[in-house]
Amino acid sequence: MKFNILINEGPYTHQASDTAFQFASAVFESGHEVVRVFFYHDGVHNATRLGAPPVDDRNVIARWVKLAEDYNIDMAVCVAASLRRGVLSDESASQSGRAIANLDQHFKVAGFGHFIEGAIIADRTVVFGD
Amino acid sequence: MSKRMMFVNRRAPYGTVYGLEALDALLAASAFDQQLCVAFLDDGVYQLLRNQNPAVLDMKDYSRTFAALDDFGVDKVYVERESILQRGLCDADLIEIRRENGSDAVSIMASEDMSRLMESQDIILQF
Repeated sequence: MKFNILINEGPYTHQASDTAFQFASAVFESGHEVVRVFFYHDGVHNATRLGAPPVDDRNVIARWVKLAEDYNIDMAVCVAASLRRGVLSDESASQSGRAIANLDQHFKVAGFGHFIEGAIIADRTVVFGD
Repeated sequence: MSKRMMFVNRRAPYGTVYGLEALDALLAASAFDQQLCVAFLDDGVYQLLRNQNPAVLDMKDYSRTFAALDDFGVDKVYVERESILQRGLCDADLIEIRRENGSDAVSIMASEDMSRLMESQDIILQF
């Protein structure tokens, strides 16, 4: 079965990203497929490469990156939501005159339509949020 | 092959960004030729109040865009009656949303009818 995943909350404050990660891992381990993981609202903060959590805590962002590398997942942050919150790719940083880009390279920037496309091709859309 | 997608608004405007970004998401989705509708329940009904003035909060009055939803191909707006009444509001407190042909795009419905409508959707996105 093909799953399309939406994550609406940032890391650590909410469990949404943890639960989504565990769900996505279980999807792959069960031989199913995740067609897309899309980050919206504060969920875009899951894509910063600058997170530095204490070593005795889980690293929410590094886990997503590892999963994306293991299974070649399409992970994207919403362009409008990420610009508003200062989660910037190299391209969007230079376009908006910012000296620093913080989007991890495993995430791409896309419109919300990217998620809708995922919803159209997937068998199930699962939303993780408040 | 298009899917039935419902955007469900449950939160008041301005206190959080969910309402505004739900509208952004709905407009983005409208480009994909799916069967879209939008529902307002719980505190979400406050998003439809007439005469909002969030300028005093230094925020944008995005409720004006609701009146133009039909231009984006979204011509079904559902509001839960109980949510309106529980908040001491009435139908006349809500903004008008009309289709191009002049008909009312807003249906105010009982909770159990809203449940049935939700059951008939392929995808529900809650904000």
